[in-house]
Amino acid sequence: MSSSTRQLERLLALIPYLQAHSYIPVAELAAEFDVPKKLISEEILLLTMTGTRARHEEMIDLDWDAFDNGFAHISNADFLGRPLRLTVLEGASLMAALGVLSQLAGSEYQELIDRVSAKIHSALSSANDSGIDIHVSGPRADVNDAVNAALATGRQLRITYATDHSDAASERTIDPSNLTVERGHVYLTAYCHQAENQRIFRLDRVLQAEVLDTPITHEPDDGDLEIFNFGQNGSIATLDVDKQARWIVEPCQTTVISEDTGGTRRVTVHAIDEEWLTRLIMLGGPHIRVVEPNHMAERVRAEAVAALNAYDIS
Amino acid sequence: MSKRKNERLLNLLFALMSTRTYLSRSTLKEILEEYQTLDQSAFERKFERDKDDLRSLGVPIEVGRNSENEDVDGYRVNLADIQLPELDMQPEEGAIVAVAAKVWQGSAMGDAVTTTLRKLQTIGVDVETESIPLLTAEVSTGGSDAIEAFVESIQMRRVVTFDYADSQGAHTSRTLQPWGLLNWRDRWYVGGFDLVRDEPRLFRLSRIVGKPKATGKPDGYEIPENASLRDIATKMFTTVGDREAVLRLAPNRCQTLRQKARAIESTPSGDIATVPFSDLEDFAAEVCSFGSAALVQEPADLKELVISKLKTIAGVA
Repeated sequence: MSSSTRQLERLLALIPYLQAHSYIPVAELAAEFDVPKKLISEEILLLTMTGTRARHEEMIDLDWDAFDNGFAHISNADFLGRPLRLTVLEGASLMAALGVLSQLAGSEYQELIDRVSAKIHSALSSANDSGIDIHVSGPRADVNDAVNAALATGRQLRITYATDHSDAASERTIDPSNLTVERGHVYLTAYCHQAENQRIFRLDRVLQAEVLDTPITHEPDDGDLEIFNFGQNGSIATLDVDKQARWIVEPCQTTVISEDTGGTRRVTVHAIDEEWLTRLIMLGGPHIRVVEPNHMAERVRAEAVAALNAYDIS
Repeated sequence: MSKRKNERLLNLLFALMSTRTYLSRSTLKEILEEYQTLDQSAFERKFERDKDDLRSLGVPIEVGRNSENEDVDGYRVNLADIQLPELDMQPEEGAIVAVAAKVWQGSAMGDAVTTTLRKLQTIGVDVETESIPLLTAEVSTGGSDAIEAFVESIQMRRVVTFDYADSQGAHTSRTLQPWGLLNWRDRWYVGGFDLVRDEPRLFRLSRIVGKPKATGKPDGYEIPENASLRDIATKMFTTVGDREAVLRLAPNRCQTLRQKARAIESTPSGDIATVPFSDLEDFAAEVCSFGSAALVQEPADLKELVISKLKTIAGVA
């Protein structure tokens, strides 16, 4: 049902688009609409079954010779020469995306984004708000301003950063290159002078940021950086997770192996590193147990013993 | 199946938009091949559904009579109402749209964004230039079928019924007047007025079992003007601590506890943090997760619970 609605939206967009792009190669059309060539070809054929029969008994015409040679050209379709207003989902998704940008952008883009939002709003098919709201766990306002100022002027930043996995704060000098929102968080890609490499920083973990006078010395790499790099540094553990502790592993990259009648699941979890995984398991207390590897079980136990010793209990 | 349905919907829409006079049901049945073969009651049912489908897409269908002599209603679509207006988008505004479109890239919602871009391009908006390289954004849309279903129900103001699994895995049937969708900390929620619990609530989309069903009539409720899903979320997810703990934190460690702390005092034996909390069990688990880096000084019940958890984990209980 849902893919059928998407198709209806595409068919309606296709008719004016084809008229504005005479004899467009079908391959190019497929790329523009981001669907397989076979599908878009079928949809063009479907259009020839439609028309304004009410008054003229007229159907949309296709230049068949051109179509056989891989080009699309339609005629008899001037009743739909201009696209329709944005459908409910088209409008809601774009408005939500603009909302994300608005939360992310510095003040210099704010007015521009507001202006675009107002124009898109005037193109919606209905004044009804179908409100999709994407909340971004953003940085503190002063950090956000500093980062945007540094990006705009091409200067270095001095930041205090709390890494996720080591749970310790560190001071770094970085050359910021761009901001990304992914999975509800804002990330800053930058060259880190301490690591002497490109790094990705989660902005809400930047505790302090100060714009330096020095211009950046490293331009951004073209290479793709993975934020969630479970590859070489990551480790995998198998855990038994009771029902009441599922929420703890839910946000992690896990695979469920089996589930017993009591709702306890055996899962494998991909961890950024073992220190982080230790904390995750301890958060579950008795409701998360390590099946393997053995040294992980040992590590968790040792951490609990160390804490008990610190309380003077053993 | 869907292909024939879309063919029928297009022909219905084109018939309705290329007429100035209202077309009666019997006229539509006559001129649209897809309706001709149906008996009267099958046609009526199908026509009602098709009208709803067009409306939920955002096409307003006018109902009226061409003259007082006519005894049945007719239908038409006003072309001027449904055509994309002139937007007068500047290149830098088009660039913002292009950047925004990337938010949904790779998700099922991406299709809707792609057709939007092509529509804007058709009326001459330049959405190819990317003169704003500093910003990119992406959200995940696990369960985007539900997103789509709710967007349509919210648009039509239709009450929705669905099965919901709570955190313990128990299923209950819920009836909701949906107000909006919220992505909060990378999780999707639908929020609205829960007609069973009689209060505003949020539901995780990933916990909705099967497909949500629009069971109510269109325009069946109103969304309160001051409705804010973010407020509901803030209330649900932030701990307004009515209790306070004093913890000894290892230097430079326990960032999440430090961020919650009301006060932190550095001493030779570690940082003494005053941290508010409300749920004893949850907070004990959090403190416990930091092992020897976070030690409870006060209150006694928290300290006791953390120690008992540690003993279980250490296997000395």
